[in-house]
Parts: sequence; C-alpha cells; structure tokens
Amino acid sequence: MVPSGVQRSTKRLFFLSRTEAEPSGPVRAFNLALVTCLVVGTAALILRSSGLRWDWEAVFGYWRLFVDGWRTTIGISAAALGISTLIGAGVALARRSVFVPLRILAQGYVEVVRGTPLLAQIYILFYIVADAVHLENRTLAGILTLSIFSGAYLAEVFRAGIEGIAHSQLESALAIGLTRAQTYRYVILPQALRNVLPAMTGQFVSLIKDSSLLSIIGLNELTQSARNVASYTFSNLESYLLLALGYMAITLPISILTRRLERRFRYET
Amino acid sequence: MKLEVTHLSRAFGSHKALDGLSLAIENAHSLVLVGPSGGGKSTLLRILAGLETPDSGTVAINDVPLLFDEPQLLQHRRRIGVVFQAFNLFPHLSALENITLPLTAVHGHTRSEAQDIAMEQLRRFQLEAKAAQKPAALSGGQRQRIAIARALAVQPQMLLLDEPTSALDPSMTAEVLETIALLRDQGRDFVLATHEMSFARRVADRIALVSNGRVAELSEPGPFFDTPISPVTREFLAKVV
Ligand SMILES: Nc1ncnc2c1ncn2[C@@H]1O[C@H](COP(=O)(O)OP(=O)(O)O)[C@@H](O)[C@H]1O
Ligand SMILES: [Mg+2]
Repeated sequence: MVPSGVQRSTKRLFFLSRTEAEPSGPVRAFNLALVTCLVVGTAALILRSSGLRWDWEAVFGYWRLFVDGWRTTIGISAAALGISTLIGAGVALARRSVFVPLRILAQGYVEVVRGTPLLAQIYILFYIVADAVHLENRTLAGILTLSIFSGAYLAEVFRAGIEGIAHSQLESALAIGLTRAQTYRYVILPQALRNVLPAMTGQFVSLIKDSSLLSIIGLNELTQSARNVASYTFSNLESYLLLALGYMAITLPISILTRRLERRFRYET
Repeated sequence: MKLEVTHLSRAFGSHKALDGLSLAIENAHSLVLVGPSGGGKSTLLRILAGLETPDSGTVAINDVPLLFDEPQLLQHRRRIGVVFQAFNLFPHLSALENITLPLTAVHGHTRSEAQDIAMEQLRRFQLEAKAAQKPAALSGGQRQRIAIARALAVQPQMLLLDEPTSALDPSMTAEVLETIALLRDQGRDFVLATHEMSFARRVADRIALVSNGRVAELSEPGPFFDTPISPVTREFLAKVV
C-alpha cells in the first residue's frame, strides 16, 4: 500500500527520519507536551483511585525544617564533592604510581569500597572508626564517609579518563622532554577532564542522592527532615514529594550545566 | 654530526629487534635508514631519542656517550627533536600551542618569546595561517610539518624522523619531503628512516640498510644504490626500486 500524504506527515510528527539525529524544535515541543500530559494524567488517575486526600497545610507548617534539611544536604554534598574529587584524583594517580605498595593500597581501597554497601560503610566508619579516633562531629563524620565512598568511584572514573589518552601522546610528551608531572599537567589532565565529565557528573548526582543515607546516623539533612515532618503530620506522601523535589532541585541544574559544558567542549575540538 | 653505535641489542621477549647493531659516521649531516619492515629502524631511532633503553651496547653522539638512566635521558630528550610516523601533536592544543608547549614548559622561554619563535617557525613553513587550528582541522601533511616545526623550534642538537610520510596519502607526501629537504639545505643534522628511496638518495649524506637488527651496509648514497656490496642490500633494492 502506498502511504498517503496525511499518513506520511503524521509519521513525521512522531518519528525521526533516517537523516535526523535530533527532533526539530516544534516536533520536540509537541511530543514533550504529549508525554507530560500522559504521565501527569496517569499519576492523577493513580492518586484518585488510591483515595488519597492531600493535606499540604500541615506539611507547609514545617517549611523551616525542610529548608534547613535542604541546606544541610547541599552543604554536606558540596563538601563531600570537593573532598571526594581530591581523593579520587589522588587514588587514580596512586593506582598508576611506580611505587608498588601504593598501587596495591589504592586498588584495595577501590575494591573494598565499591564492593560493600554504603550503609555498611556508614555504620562501620561512624560507630567504629569515628569512635576510635574520637571524631564526635556527626556532620564531619558524615561528610568524610560520603567522600570516602564516592572517592573510590571517582578514582575509577579518573583512571579511565587517564587511560583513554592514547599511548602515542604519552610518547610525544616524553619525546619533547616533559617530566611525568608535566605530562599530567599539560597533556593528560586537560583531555582527561573533558573525557570524564559525563561520568563525573553522574557520580556527583549519585553522591547527592546517597547523602540521604546519612540520616541513619542522625544527621538532620533533607531526608531526615522529610521523615520527621511525615511523622509529625502523618502527611507521608506530601513530605516525600517535597523530598523528591528538593533533590531534583539540586541534581537537575548539575545535569543541565554538564550538558552545556559537554557541548562547548565538543565544538572546541 | 658524529654518531657511534656499537653492538646495540634490544630484545622484545625472545625476539631480537636489534641484534648487536653497530654503525659509525662522521662529518655528515644526514643519515638515512632504509630496510625491510621489522628490521629495527624504529627501535634504533627510539634508542637514539632516549625513549627506549638497550639491553646492551653503547651510543655516542658527537663523542658524548648516551647514559641510560632516567635523569640523563630526560636531558638528552630535551636536546633532540623527534618526529614519529603520526599522532605527534596534542589534539587539545592548537598548532601554535603545540609548538610553544616545549618552549615554555621545558626550555624556559616566556610566553611571548615562545609565541615569537613558534610564529617564526610556522612562517618559515608557510603555515602561519594554521596557527590557531587544532590538529583535527589540519591535513595529515600539515600535521607532520607542524610536528617538524615543533621539533626544530627548540634548536635541537639533531632531529630524528621515523617514517614521517608513511602514514600520509601520496598527495601529501611531497610537502613533507620538501620540508625535510629544507632541513638538509640548512645543514641540520638528522637521522631519517624512510621507504622513499629516491628521496633517500637525494637527502642522505650516509645511508644505512638496517635488517634483522643489524646494519647490512653503510655508505654514501651513490655507491649504496649503484654498487651495493651486501647481498641483503641488493635483494632489498631489487624489491623496492
Ligand atoms: N614495543 C615492542 N614490543 C614488542 N615488539 C616490538 C616492540 N617494538 C618493536 N618490536 C619488534 O621489533 C622488531 C623491529 O621493529 P622496528 O624497530 O619497529 O622495525 P622497523 O622500524 O624497521 O620496521 C619488529 O619485529 C617488531 O615487531
Ligand atoms: Mg618502523
């Protein structure tokens, strides 16, 4: 059967043609609206048939708690982000060190941290290690635990970035007389940074979400706040919806920023 | 330049890339290495460049012995210019930055000095219009010429070129060979491995046939091509000319 003109233009509304990599502006906007309607509609249906009654007022009464928790989450995440980046970079270098014990230590750290759940690490580091070294500040202990956890993942991300630099470039660097440190500084890092950007942001987003687990050692971050509010008000759904929005408000800008940076890097080369 | 290599050996696993290679030249500006693939040309050049360490044997350049410990090798690499077959340039740096990097990072020039030197070098090769381009935006021939410019910019004692045209398509070979011919006209010292026989004849003061990790023949280009002595040379020339 020969497709009619109407059929063809209907198809263009939903499908990319063979030559298109991205939908055009109007097509994208139309489909975005469509999908949004469907999702929201489905959610509304589910909520209606569950017979839930909204009670935002009680929850809003505790807005200060939410804001405080949200700020704590941002603070903890930002600090852990910085520290874990340092740990990740250091460990990635250590894994490539010419000093063998350092290599083994770095590798062991990565394996142990990646092979165990964060929950177990929080308990062990907080109730055993922090106690042993008399680290009583919960926030600091939480930040360090999160940094140690995330640092292992970042180390692998950075290592992949470093190892993605072609051998021929390391030869060129050697041939023009760069030292090892100079090779990292002028050749490896600028390119590795660009290569690891997507994986690195992915890890940052995980870190922010993982910070919610610190509620188990009594840190008053966003998850803990939501949990408290839920128990004061019995408005579980409202509290946890706010909780989700709170995390989205942090992670979404990061994703958007990264996509923009990636695009800029791509045009540069 | 004066170059003395004695009993140089280098094995990879059980395979001897260099098998007691010796060669000595004096009062020559250019040495061209020819020979079958896998004969050991690159390995020899890499040792001369300070990028590889031999298992045994000695190298002396202008009567200065090459010492194979890392600090000495680093100093040595800084005195030598190297151009590989391909991928010489750093892809994240522009042509100009590729040339200025060793000048500023290694040779102690200020940024503006380095830029002047680099631009001068680019001008000499008629590449100044490409200064701001990244390697990806350049042709293979331009990339190789910029690699030569980078190697020359630091005023090296000698240049080592390992088949600088064999990764290029034929249309770009000529411009790179012309650039190398220019080096010869300027009396620069260089060692070149190549498969371009007529070019070898044109630019070589001495020409060596490297095969099975040894030098089978070493002479001036005239006798080398017209009256080769070694059967290995004759066989090789019969195949390629
Ligand atoms: N890094 C290496 N590891 C293993 N084998 C190598 C390495 N470099 C060179 N060889 C081997 O040494 C021999 C000589 O190689 P090469 O010096 O590259 O010769 P040519 O440049 O004349 O083609 C070849 O058989 C090659 O496979
Ligand atoms: Mg070779």
